[in-house]
Amino acid sequence: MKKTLTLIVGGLLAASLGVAQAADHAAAKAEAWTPGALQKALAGMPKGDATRGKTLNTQLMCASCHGDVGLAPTHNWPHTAGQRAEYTYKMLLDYKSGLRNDGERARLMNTVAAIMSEQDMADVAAYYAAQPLPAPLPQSLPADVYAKTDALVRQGDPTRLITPCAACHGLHGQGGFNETPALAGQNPQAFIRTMQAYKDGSRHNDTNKGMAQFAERLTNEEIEHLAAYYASQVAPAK
Amino acid sequence: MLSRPLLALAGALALVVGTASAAPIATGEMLANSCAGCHGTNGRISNSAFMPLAGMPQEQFVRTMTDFREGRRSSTLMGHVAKGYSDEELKAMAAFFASVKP
Amino acid sequence: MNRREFLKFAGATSLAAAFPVRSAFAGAQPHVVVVGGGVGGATFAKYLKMADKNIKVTLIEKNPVYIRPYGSSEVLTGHIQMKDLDVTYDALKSRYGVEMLIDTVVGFDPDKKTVSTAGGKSLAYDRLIVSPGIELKYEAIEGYSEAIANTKVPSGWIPGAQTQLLADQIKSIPKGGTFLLVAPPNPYRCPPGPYERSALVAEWFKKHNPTAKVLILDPKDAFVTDTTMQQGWNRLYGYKMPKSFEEKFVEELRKFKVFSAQEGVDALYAKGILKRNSGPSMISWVTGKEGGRVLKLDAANMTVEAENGVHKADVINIVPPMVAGTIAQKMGLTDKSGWCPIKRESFESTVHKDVHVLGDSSIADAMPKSGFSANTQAKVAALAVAASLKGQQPGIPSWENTCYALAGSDYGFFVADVFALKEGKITNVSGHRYLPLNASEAQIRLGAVYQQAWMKSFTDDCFA
Ligand SMILES: Cc1cc2nc3c(=O)[nH]c(=O)nc-3n(C[C@H](O)[C@H](O)[C@H](O)COP(=O)(O)OP(=O)(O)OC[C@H]3O[C@@H](n4cnc5c(N)ncnc54)[C@H](O)[C@@H]3O)c2cc1C
Ligand code: HEC
Ligand code: HEC
Ligand code: HEC
Repeated sequence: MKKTLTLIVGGLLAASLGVAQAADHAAAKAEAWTPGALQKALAGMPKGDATRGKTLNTQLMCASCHGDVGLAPTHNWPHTAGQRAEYTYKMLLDYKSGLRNDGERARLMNTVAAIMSEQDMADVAAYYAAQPLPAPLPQSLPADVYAKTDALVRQGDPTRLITPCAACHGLHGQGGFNETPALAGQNPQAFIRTMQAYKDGSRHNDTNKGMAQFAERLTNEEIEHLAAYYASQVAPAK
Repeated sequence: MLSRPLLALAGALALVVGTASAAPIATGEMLANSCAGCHGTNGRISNSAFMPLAGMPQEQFVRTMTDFREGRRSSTLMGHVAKGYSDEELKAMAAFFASVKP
Repeated sequence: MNRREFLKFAGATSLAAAFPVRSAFAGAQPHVVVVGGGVGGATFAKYLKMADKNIKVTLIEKNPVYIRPYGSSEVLTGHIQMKDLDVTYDALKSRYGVEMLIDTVVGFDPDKKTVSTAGGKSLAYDRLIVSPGIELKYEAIEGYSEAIANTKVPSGWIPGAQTQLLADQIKSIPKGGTFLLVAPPNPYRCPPGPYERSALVAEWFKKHNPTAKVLILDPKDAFVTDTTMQQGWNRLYGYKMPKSFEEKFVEELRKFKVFSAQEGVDALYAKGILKRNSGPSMISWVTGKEGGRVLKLDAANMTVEAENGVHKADVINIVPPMVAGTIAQKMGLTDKSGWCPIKRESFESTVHKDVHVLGDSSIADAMPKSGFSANTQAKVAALAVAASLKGQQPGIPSWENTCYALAGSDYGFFVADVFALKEGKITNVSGHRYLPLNASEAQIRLGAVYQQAWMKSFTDDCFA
């Protein structure tokens, strides 16, 4: 896998990164994950050095958008604090290969990830994982909406073949196995944007549509409620 | 199109706040117009590498602009831009952008 | 031609001009006429409608589709195509209610407050806005003319067929050939533009014709972004930094406390601020001091005579000296510099009352002649005109300019200013204007992403 990945990346750089065409270009080249390939890549993740990760977070400008400790300075960006290292690592691989290219904003990530080594990625991932998850926002949903959303999260919706979110993301949104991310305390705007991107197919870096298949079956209203729900969750201490 | 009178009102209110200090300042609308070439007309933009400013909570706006200005938040460009504005001017812009529906 | 003669000439072109039709709403609904639907004119029309939709706004533009000059050098490298430069007026009409008249303004009567067009229309105005861009003075260089520019030695500083001609010529340069760019004297449209164009051509050569060369002949010794641009040339195209600029680098780095007082020129190379290039450089810049001022073109032999000698090239691109758009001169709005003096807080002409001049044509103190400047000038003027039509004074103005520039397709930087009125002059109030010389690779790469994003966000702010 490592070799294919380098090849893909080589192709991307040769296309001279690009500003205007890079992401589209990379999309054609970047190979989708198979479960086996992903497992191998995660098993091969270098041991992360959180101290070096902190330095990289500043040097590579991550802090400008995601904050000094992974808490985004405004509502426009995703928080990265407290995230599972495997998820952060996989996202950086995907941004670098161009597999995650869900729009003009993702281009910012494609551009910085392009100059990161796998060791760099593991180090920042370790740094974010060492931080607490973002503090919860006050619960803002009316009680009946909250209850309905809670049911969707914990019981899913068999009529629409929606597996409970909690089955994968944890009961409190604290994250699951491997690359399954924490959702607790995530900035609702980033949550909504990424769910919409799964839904309209512009975010397609998940393995075998492991996440997109659920997003596709949710209404826009449900997505907004889920965003508010998860923003207010308190995950158990790690 | 957006209702400008509302925006103008936000600007006017900000001006009142602004005049509390020594020098009179431009309205929030006048100041904010300078940002639109990147952040979109009235700070509204989507699917761009530039972030929208419309609807940004005033506290977030003022804090992050001050952080840019004082070098606490790193940037490519905004550190330069933020140095051109006083606290009063930032408040006037904050009021303007917060009053625009995203 | 003085004004009276001009009016006569205009009258002869169009009979209708003698019988101006007053707007049906005259008195009740003020009529603002805008001449030139480029950056300044379009932005003005949109923002005036946003400020007060009851004002009737007519925009007169000679071309049905605007070809944007900003970003047009990217056509030369095939990064974008000519059609990507096209901008329509659809949104100005449908979303903002601007009335479009595709026609050329040829006549003007400041006493009767009318303008007339080549198509025989005459329009009465309460306020007139003039944003006609530039006129290129081809003849200022001996042997050069518009006819030669259209067929053999293009300029492309007003984009159009010359831009495409230049793109085709660059692709057919023989292996190891020379692209010669003649840079203009100050003041001119888009200060970093000629040097960015040179860099983009060098980048194209690097991929497709690696032994070809770019030669810049310049009457000047400095230009806006000269440190950051040369740093990009140095890192990407084997360019050797001139001694005087090495010293400038050290001075700036000491000023910003990146270098200690002990660190000098050697540290520039030791710390990777600059690269020690030993091979030949793809770009050469001959400054005014070094004899870079161009005297003469011999298009038949493809040579250019500069003060330092005769240079032969395979493609010659001349950016000639320029002045305010022709119509601004004919209207008598220019002073002896060839540009239009204005009152800063409203951009109203100091020559004719109720006439405002925007963009490249205006004299705006420290503001460069750029799209971004034209855009913020138009907004200041729109608020001032809306106020004055209500009998109010213009408010306190504020302007900004950012020119993004590329040294390569993923190497971006800028010059940025916030401007305010200080002691009667438009003055920078934000201090340092450039990307720091020790900027990180991430900053430079992001700069290029923002440069591309700007092309779209900016076009939308002006036209949509
Ligand atoms: C290669 C290049 C790169 C550039 N890059 C940048 C950049 O990165 N950033 C930046 O900010 N700026 C850039 N610019 C500069 C920018 O394009 C100009 O400064 C800007 O277009 C000026 O706006 P304006 O309204 O004064 O003139 P223009 O945009 O030129 O508009 C003038 C309009 O008036 C019309 N007109 C003229 N006379 C008449 C008449 N008599 N009747 C009717 N219509 C008439 C013309 O057809 C034209 O549409 C660049 C320019 C070039 C050449
Ligand atoms: C210029 C702003 C910017 C910079 C600099 C930046 N990011 Fe991002 N980052 C974003 C944006 C915007 C997104 C969401 C993009 C999308 O929609 O795909 C994002 C997404 C991410 C994600 C995925 C988050 C999620 O919840 O899915 C990770 C992880 C991440 N960034 C890490 C980094 C790291 C590490 C760096 C530094 C090496 C960095 N970012 C630098 C803007 C930035
Ligand atoms: C079968 C397991 C599974 C289920 C069920 C599931 N997810 Fe996911 N989810 C994932 C995985 C795995 C990812 C990461 C995919 C990738 O590689 O991009 C993910 C990613 C996400 C993300 C993106 C996180 C970020 O920071 O960008 C959101 C938001 C999300 N899921 C929400 C939900 C919600 C809400 C539900 C329930 C409706 C749900 N998920 C159900 C496995 C699951
Ligand atoms: C030439 C383009 C440009 C102009 C003009 C501009 N900005 Fe920015 N802005 C940026 C960029 C690029 C960023 C990302 C930070 C950076 O690298 O500078 C940004 C970021 C921001 C942010 C942070 C957004 C977030 O969600 O974190 C704010 C707030 C902001 N700008 C406000 C303004 C204001 C107010 C003005 C006008 C006074 C302005 N900007 C003018 C380019 C611009």
